[in-house]
Amino acid sequence: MNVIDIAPSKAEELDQFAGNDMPLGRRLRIWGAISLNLEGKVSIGNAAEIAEMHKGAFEDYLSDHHVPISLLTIEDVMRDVETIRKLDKQ
Amino acid sequence: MKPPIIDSSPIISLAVIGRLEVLEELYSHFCLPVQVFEELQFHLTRHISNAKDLIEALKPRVLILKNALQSERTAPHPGLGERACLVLALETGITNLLIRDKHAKTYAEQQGWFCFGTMALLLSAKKQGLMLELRPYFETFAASGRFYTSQLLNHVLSLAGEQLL
Repeated sequence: MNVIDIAPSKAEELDQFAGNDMPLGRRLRIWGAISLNLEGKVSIGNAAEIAEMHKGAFEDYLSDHHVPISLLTIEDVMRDVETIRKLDKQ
Repeated sequence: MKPPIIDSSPIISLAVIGRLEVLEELYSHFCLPVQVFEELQFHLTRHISNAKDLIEALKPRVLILKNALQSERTAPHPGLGERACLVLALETGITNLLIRDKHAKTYAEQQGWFCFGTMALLLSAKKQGLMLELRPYFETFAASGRFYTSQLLNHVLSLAGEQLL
């Protein structure tokens, strides 16, 4: 059997992200979902599914914990602006 | 511009700042898949005082997918609403998407479709005179639990020629 040892600092992160009044399994699920989203591995909608939360509720949760709901970079915004410019010319 | 397919997040952001009508003014025939509409119903009802009116206004825009989402393989790791937007684009041939998620955008751009997000939409609305200033709306985001990084918001404000947060 594989045993996962959670370091104290990680446990604090779990508390911060998921609230220490939740069962550990639920906290791990939410923490994992947030981590995967922040690492760019899954979309926010997919992260909400992993966390077993509604997308809107998941976004609320992120915002409540000062985790950005958008991972867009400045370059992304510039590209989007250029896209709109192209589309407006069509 | 041809009317886009719209995901839930941009609609929520506009609803939060009380400017959902900007979508109508910019893209009179926009549409959204029923999965996105269901996400919106949940979120707007919890957060917006006139949610019922907004939901009624959005109803005529809702399209139902022909294909079951479960059988579709689109972008890796998108959520249900994002996946539904991509499938709707495949089904309808609509190639403009207002969608924020990077995974969905990457897939869409690989198909040769055009994607943009809320921030670019807001800049476009200001350019067209539909919004005088973006800064007050960004302050509302912060107060209403729509947390964007200040770096991102300030960059958009600098593009809009406004005072930074």
